[in-house]
Amino acid sequence: MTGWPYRTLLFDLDGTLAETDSLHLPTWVEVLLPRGIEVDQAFYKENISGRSNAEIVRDLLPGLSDEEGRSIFEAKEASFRKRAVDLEPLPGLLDFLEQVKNRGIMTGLVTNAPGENVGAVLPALKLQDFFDIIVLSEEVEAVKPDPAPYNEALKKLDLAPEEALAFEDSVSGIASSVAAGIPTVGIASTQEPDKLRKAGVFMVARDFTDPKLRALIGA
Amino acid sequence: MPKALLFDLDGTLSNTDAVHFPNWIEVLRPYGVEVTRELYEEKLSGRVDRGAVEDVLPDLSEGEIDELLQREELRARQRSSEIGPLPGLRGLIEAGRRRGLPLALVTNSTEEDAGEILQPLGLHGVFDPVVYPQDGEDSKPAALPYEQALESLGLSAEEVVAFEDSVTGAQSAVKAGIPTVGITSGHSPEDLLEAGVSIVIGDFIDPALYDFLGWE
Repeated sequence: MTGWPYRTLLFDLDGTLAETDSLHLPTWVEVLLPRGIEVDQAFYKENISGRSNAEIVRDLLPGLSDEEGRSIFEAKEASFRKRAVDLEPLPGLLDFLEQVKNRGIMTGLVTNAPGENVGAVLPALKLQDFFDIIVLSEEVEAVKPDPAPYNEALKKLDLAPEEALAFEDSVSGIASSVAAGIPTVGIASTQEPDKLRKAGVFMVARDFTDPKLRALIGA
Repeated sequence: MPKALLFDLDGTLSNTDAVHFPNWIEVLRPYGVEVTRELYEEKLSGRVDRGAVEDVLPDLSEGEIDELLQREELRARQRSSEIGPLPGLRGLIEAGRRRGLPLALVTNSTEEDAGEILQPLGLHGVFDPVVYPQDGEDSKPAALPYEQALESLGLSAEEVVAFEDSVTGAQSAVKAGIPTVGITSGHSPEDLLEAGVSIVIGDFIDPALYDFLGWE
């Protein structure tokens, strides 16, 4: 009774559906160490988490040609995909998604991750073929924090922003969904709840076992 | 237009008088006390505590007072689940959801008590963040609980609106600098205005509220 009747729920992938930092971190260590950059937890959070590969490589290795940059992050992603089989969905995710589907609410995936990674991660989470739509930033003209990926999702579903609800775990992801006008829930898997609130979410949950999320969809 | 709505719990989300007046009639009857409107307003309104019981029944032992208060509390919860939230609250929550606004709770109740009040009202899981009283820290009427909510939200006082039904609660929100709406479910409009609320309403259906929020 207290939920707004959302027509669609849109999910970020990395950090929102599954904790992928613990896989991304060692892959960045692997490709950056030979170039003299030591990546630890703090460095990762500050300079890498939530950003696009192109931005990361441009900032950290400024002298490289585009082609060299691309070969670095392609090597990094290939290594990530090998590790992806070990991924687990965030606690409560699969139950929550089942309730969402049972209520006839459409679902979408909106991600900066490369398509090949999405193809590796979704089966590991047992979510291949689950989402009604998938929007890849690489297929849109801009990456999050630009609102373009979320605008594209709304366009595909032919819905207004207030009919949608977004789930994001990073400040740049929240900036994207909020700029698209979509009410957003923060998943505090990697960041402090208050940091997500300041970025513009209206509610924060630790993971998908939080009863607040069920209340949102009237479950 | 506000960027977040901050709610008090008891009396703001439900009608305090509608719960507690019939409740006191029921629980004090076995003690031979006839609760009139005058007695209720003079001695019982706005307080469910030992002091209230001692005022009305000075000869009861501590154990008897505890028993009576437990009975009052149990029956109050049952009544509030029958009565439900104040009229218009669900509509206001939906309007807030549509706008993607945080709906926060700022309460002097413990987490356990808050859960027991919210559940029967069908409001469990609606509010985030929730500010509970912290051990050794000031509670309402001090400004601290509202200041903590603002800190958590990353918003300044003039960017939000608070809802309070009691004088002490209104004082807390007003001291924090927050434009405050007074709900007259247990206290007189004059008392709430004196405490500094910007506007007084009887429930959330009143269109004056939507004008105040600047909502269509």
